[in-house]
Amino acid sequence: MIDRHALRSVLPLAPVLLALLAVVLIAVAEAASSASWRSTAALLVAALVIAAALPSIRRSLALRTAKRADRERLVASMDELAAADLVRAKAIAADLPAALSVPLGEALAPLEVLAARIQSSSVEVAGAAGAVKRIASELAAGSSQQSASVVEITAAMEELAQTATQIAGNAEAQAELARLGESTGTEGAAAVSRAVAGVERLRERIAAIAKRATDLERRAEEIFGVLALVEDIARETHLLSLNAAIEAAGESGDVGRRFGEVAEEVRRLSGRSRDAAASVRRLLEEFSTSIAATVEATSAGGREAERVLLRVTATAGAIAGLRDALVETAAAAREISAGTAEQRTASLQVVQTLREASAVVQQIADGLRGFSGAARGLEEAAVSVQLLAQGFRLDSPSSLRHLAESWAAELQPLLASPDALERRLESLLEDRPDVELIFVNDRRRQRTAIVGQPSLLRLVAIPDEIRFGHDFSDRPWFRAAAAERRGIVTSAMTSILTHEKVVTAAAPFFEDGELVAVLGIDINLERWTSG
Amino acid sequence: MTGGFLIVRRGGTLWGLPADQVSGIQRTETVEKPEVPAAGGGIELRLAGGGRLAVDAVLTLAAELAVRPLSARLRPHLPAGSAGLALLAGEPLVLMTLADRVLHD
Amino acid sequence: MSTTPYLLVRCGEKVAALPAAAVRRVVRGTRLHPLPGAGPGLIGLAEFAGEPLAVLDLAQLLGEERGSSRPPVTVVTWLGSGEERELVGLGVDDAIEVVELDPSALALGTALVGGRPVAVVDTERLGVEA
Repeated sequence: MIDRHALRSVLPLAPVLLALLAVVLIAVAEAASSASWRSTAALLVAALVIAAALPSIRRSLALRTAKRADRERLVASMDELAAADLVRAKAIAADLPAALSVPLGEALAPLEVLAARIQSSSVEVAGAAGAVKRIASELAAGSSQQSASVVEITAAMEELAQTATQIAGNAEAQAELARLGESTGTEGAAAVSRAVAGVERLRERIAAIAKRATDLERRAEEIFGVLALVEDIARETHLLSLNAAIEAAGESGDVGRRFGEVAEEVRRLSGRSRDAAASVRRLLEEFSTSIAATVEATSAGGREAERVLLRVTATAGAIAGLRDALVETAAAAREISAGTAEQRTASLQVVQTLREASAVVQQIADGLRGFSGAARGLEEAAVSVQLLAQGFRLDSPSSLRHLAESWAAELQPLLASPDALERRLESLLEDRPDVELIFVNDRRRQRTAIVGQPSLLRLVAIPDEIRFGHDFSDRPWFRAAAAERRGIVTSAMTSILTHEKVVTAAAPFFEDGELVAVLGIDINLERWTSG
Repeated sequence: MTGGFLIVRRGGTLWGLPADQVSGIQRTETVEKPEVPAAGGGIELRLAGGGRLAVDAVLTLAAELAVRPLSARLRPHLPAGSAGLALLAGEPLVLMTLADRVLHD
Repeated sequence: MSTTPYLLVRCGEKVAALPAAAVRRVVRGTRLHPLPGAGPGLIGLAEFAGEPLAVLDLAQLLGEERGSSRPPVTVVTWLGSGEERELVGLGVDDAIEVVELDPSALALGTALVGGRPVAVVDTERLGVEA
């Protein structure tokens, strides 16, 4: 009999999903080597299944009386779980008698669904963080352009103010005035047109910043939402581990001790994820503060620009009036003099307002520089999360381990035929624009089949000596696949082809139980996330 | 009323009273002590012993209740007159046996 | 000498240790129904495994000062022994971890965990001392 109450109380869908997500967040707080994040993920999966299934397994197991073969199969399934390979764990468990396979299966099924959701949602979070980073740099670039336009406009207006002063000072000499007035009128009008156009552009740019800043606020909200979930997870995981430890305390002998150890490990993990969530929260809060400041500054900037535009338009009107007045006689000189004095005051006011607008834009630029840094940090954190989630092997399109293992299974029969192998690699590559390079290093046959995206290879060729006899056994992807004897995903590295961040998913080939080759797939992180 | 238990809600929790201890139910027009939560319901039970009990709502008459008597450990923590605990439709309730007095909160 | 597992919990400033064998389950977020007219030690009534559960404030039972906020975690515990043992909820601020303590800890009523003194609770006697 399955203890539905225990399963229901121990495995409510949301907290377990979140519990698994908590594991991936742990890497934010600790430098993760490729082994430690995988064992972290594995440990949590194993502990959760154990905590969920323990009451019913205990009742239905009677371990001492179960058949030896079944005990061994159960252990093998748990071993696969420990490697976070839910695909193989399920396959092995399916062959157990119903009393064992049913509780295990019921515990595994929701975990699989949840781990798949974590893998895909971690991709979304990384995508959001990437977008945030891009927007932040655009904004920073945009604001420095703006500062430049403000300077330009200010210069034009100052020039205008000066010529107006000149006219006012020369009001007595009519002829000179007429001549000066003509050219000043033309130049003045040109200066004003430039100023009007400039202020329009300024206004548009500020509006664009305001919109982007609001987009960013929204993204940050999403991430806050995930964070709140994660914090819930940390709490739920912790509770789960305590209850598992309490159950284990009631279990005598080896089984109890091992379960108790796993529960303790999980408790430590949940503490670390709580700390990780706290530091991500601090980061996000800083981030949110600077976005809010930016939004505020852009509204202020927008209002300033409006004011300037109004003044400049008024000045344009005054200059047109001045040109008309220039066709009058000397009697009109006095009017002109009065008119230019007004115009001078007007343009001085414009200059003043522009100076204020410039100060606001400077504030925006400073604020943006601050959160560009935070946005970069956020993206790096999100990418780490994404890679951690890859610790699980699931039969899902988001699982890179599964990709490597299923391609390896498909390619195994082709190892002996290099041409067929290379052709198959090319067709696999066609379906995955996010893959930069696929290679199979065959140690037994001393050669490497290697294909890359044609668009990338246009710039960088693969040297021939790579294909024949080159020893890849010291490369991280090779070593990890050989050591784990299963599919793995490396941490992020820089691609020699694109200089962008890539990860390598690798899987080993075995012939007669011996490692003969390793498949490597270089995946471009940016394209994988946005694709 | 005879037989079974009258289930009422008082201050956020369910209470059960042996039906034969309740002689009448009436609405009260005025709420005399609004700061006392249980008196805000506007319903008053008249008890067999002559006392009154203000409740928020009268829910049902339950023919039977599986009551767990209060242990010596729990008794001092529960209000005077509590006799035991039970569960009705997933919600916990306290069983009261009442003497002839008016209950204050 | 073999050790016994205990669940460490926090009530306010104090840390207490409950024998793991007496703990049925640790839960958070259970629906608690307050009881007006009940003593200060009773936080409320809840439901657990199809039975009514009285939830007492552990800090109060141990004679500690408590803040005004309701303890968020409930440790569902067997109190008493033998025939007369009953499941009672103990409200605490946090459940920390399961540790192994020397058997003498129970007799002494206190133990050192990580340099900090913890109050070792005798669940067989809790709540019935005069």
